[in-house]
Amino acid sequence: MTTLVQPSRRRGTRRRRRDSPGVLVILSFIVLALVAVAIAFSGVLVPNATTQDILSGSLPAGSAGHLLGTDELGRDILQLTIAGTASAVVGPVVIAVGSMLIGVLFGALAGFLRGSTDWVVGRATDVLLALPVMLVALVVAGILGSGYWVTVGMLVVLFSPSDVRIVRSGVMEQAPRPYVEAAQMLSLSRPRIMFRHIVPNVLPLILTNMLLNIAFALVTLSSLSYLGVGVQAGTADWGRQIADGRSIMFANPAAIIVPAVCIIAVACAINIVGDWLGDRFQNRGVE
Amino acid sequence: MIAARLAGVVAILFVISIITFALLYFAPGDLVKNLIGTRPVNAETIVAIRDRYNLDDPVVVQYLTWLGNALRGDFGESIRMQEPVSLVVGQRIGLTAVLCGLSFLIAIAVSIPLGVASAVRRGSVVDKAATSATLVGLSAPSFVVGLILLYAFAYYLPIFPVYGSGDGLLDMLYHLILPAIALAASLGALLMRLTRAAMVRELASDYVTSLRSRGVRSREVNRIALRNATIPIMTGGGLVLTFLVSGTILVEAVFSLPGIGTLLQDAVLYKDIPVVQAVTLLLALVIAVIALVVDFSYLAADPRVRARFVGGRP
Amino acid sequence: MTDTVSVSGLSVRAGDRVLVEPLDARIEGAHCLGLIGESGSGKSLTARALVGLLPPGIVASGQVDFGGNRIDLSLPDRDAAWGEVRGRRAVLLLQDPFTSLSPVHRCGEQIAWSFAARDRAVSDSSTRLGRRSHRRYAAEVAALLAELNLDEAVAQSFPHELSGGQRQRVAIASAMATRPDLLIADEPTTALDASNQGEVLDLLRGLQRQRGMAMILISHDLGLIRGRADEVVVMRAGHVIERGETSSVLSSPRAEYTQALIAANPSIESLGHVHPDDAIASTSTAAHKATSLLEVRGVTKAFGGHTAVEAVSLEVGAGEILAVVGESGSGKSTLARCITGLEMPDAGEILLNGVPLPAGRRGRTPGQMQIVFQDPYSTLNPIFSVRQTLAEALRASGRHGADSEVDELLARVGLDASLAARRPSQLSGGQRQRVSIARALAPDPRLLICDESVSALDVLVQADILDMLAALRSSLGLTILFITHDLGVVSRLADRVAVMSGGALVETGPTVQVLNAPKHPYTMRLSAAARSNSLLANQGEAGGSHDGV
Repeated sequence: MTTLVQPSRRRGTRRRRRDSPGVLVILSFIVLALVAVAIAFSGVLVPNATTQDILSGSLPAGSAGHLLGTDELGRDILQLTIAGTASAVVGPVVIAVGSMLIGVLFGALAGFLRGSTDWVVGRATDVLLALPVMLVALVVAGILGSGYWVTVGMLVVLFSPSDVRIVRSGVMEQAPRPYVEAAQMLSLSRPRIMFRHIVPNVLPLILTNMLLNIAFALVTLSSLSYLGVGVQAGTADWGRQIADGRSIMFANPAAIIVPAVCIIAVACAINIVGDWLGDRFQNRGVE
Repeated sequence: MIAARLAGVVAILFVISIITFALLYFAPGDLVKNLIGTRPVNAETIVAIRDRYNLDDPVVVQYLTWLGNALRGDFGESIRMQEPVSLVVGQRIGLTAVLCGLSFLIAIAVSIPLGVASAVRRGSVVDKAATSATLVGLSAPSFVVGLILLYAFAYYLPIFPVYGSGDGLLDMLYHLILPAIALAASLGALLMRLTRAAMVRELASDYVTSLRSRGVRSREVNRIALRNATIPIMTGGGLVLTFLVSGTILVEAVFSLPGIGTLLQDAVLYKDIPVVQAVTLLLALVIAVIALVVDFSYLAADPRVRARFVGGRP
Repeated sequence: MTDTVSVSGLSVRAGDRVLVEPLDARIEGAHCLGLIGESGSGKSLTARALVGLLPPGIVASGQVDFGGNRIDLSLPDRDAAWGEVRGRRAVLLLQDPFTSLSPVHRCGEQIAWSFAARDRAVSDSSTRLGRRSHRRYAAEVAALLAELNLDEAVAQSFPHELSGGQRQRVAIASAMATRPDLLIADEPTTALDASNQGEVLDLLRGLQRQRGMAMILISHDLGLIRGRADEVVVMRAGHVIERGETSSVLSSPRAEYTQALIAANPSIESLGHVHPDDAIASTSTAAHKATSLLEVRGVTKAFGGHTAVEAVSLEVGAGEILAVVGESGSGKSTLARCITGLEMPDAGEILLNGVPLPAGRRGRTPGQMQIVFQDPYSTLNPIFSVRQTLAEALRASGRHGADSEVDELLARVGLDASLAARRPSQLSGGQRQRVSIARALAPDPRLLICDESVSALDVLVQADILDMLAALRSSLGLTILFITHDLGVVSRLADRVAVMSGGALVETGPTVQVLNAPKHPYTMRLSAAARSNSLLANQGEAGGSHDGV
């Protein structure tokens, strides 16, 4: 192909424009910072969000001492929502990171070794991908009994096949490139070629996908807790809060709107940051 | 090639059937008691259950008997409802099928034109609005979308029914509009992303430049590009269909619809294992068939794949 | 009869940066203007500016006049603004036949779209281009295919069922179908094999003349436009360096740059000019007889039923440069990969200094042989700096990889030590290829394999690197196996040539002998094609007689 414009310079002009994050990206970082604060300091900020025992029934938003009102048990919704941040966000981060690690390990092995390793890994991902996450989570948690970390662990496994596929295709795209073959010509060891040359070049793809997975895991995990899987009654959790709040939906809409907005805002923020990083990586160009 | 693909599907279903069968054994507590459920526990019922499930045979024989029955549509009797599982599932499946079909149509009807429009006018107001909507669609769980719709239409704008499933097909469709929209939100968001990305790629390709330089009008060029983009859209769309299954479980719960999703949820809650087994296997089968249909629709969409399959000229 | 096309003040900008300085040109009907330049010269931008199809963020200004019909080139890309020009006035023919046709539509239909666009432009109705409307044009499509020496069945074929040459002829047909005043052909044959290039180009030129269209022929290759363009404009970095009648510019170039381009043009006739020292050639030929460094015995490799390399045997003498020549699909690269061990041969043996090497990379050492690949963009790890790349190569061959060693390697390939800190994206294509040669030299390999190592580069850079390889051969006593499709490169560098066709070796011998007196019919055809596209060929036979074999 004839290059119309010198690529290096063209990239230069574009980078200046794209590198400066837009308003949405900055807002997203602010949301994520708030999330971090809520998780780190929830013990100090809202020490007894779940144990407060008013039993005065639901109060509407704007009641004295309860800015957003109280839920059906009389617990303060603002406090409960802050306290629920940890269970909404920590699990998804663990899910995304865990499935990424599995993905890198098996995806890299399958993509580089090919042959029978590839076949076995490929069929295993086929089986896992044929099962809808919600179905498996519901069935397994329902039959085996569920705790938060059991659910998280299960989602790590259920999320991993897409990571395996992404890493595998990334590795297979890099592996026949001349720079990898040049490394083979230097008789470098396979692990060195894999982890010094190939994986770092697939890393942007892996990290972007991991971020998007956090958002997706957040959505999935809160959906499960809405169905009553994964969190015990009484714990602070956004999905659980929404399920519980349905009974007082019309008395105090804040009971479901506040946690719902939190889920959407945090998932949006993660998605926006993920897309933004993805664009930046793409522009940096692994041509 | 076709045979290999079919064999793969059968193999996957086989593995899933083993896992499904094993659910009986994974469940905590005594197997027989689990199967008896709320019926009175006496020697007679125990013998009946042991006999019905061949519990005195070796596990492999038990599995094969179970599989043989399952293949004939016999999944035993629901523990909770005391009715044949096939009957229970049969009563619920219509609603779920209509719900999924309707929401799939809504998702396609909205997301593909929107994806094309955003790709054609990149950076325009339409593009920005559609991309933002996509982001929210991806970030909002189906149950949240469902609750928001429920709240808005029950409270402020009562033009759609918010509960119940209606009688007869038309009434059912009318009742299912809100649930279908809730279910379509995330699916539509994903399809719109796929469409936009695929169209952007196609519109930047050489053949589009060539067509435009030859004076072919933009509308025609877009149509030709979309024809090429169907291949990546179908690939992504096929993978995304499992979303419908996950979503329908949630949406049925939110709108209290008597479909497969609520059936499964209840069955899990009451440890009604025969129903859980039947639903799991049924959904796995549906997904496998859809994946197969997507694969074969490549044959129609892409002459290069057709050549490889049928073995025409290289 | 079509009108005269005149371009005035065409310039192209990206923001504040001027990519093409104001340019004027005038082309009569049936005439052809050659636009010559290396990558980054702005020749392709100029072509696209004329049909309003510049990439986003790049804008043109100036005017083009089609027989009194003036069009402002700065108009935004809208049907309303450009509908009058595109198709009816000017059509762009693109370089790559593999991407310029829609892969899921039949070729006949794609040509019919052009006819439909033309008719609509004439009648100015807005009839929709219906799904089956191409049937209406079946006869016209068939006639056009026949004019391009294509079988009638091509209309029913999908692009992937055709060869590169056939596809490009379909692309030409679809461009011709609208009968534009001006045909802009942007490197129309660069993606094709040499033996196809001349034929397709002459076909294009013939049709254009016969229909009285004006043509702009864009190329990086001076040899290709010789005898085909009436007038030539030489561009560099957006500036017009020289312009004039093609024959006079080629025979007596005034600008230094044009002279350099002509001198660098790898042409088959330069044989003998590059090796004034006959002694080297003869001694190395003699050396080949005495000690053969590499011996390939009956190497065969098939990919799923298709035999890429079939029982090839050859020898490379120590200190010799052997070129393996063939067109795409001849199996030359697969052979090279089998020799390096990157590919497992199905059968055959590879011996180095008489010792058999293991098949595959396992059990081989870096010092035995190294390879330099074709694509300068992917040959280096994009996240490694030059220093990291070279230090790793040095360490892999048992050296320390110290900075001084890296600098020494860089000096050897003519690069400044200050480049060591850069990433590949900050290097030019030529610099990247030099770094990749340095990496290959790090283990002091006995054999260097170059797989089309210069074919992605501009001619001037190409010539520099070939000269450098020749110098390295004398200074280091390097043995080189050079894989190429370009006979010009062969005649510039190689002592001996091995010609491959369809996976088999068809002819081997000293370069002078094989190129001047080829024995095998395939070699004759290659050699004839190379000569007719070459710069220094007899001006009299310009336009070339081609026996469309």
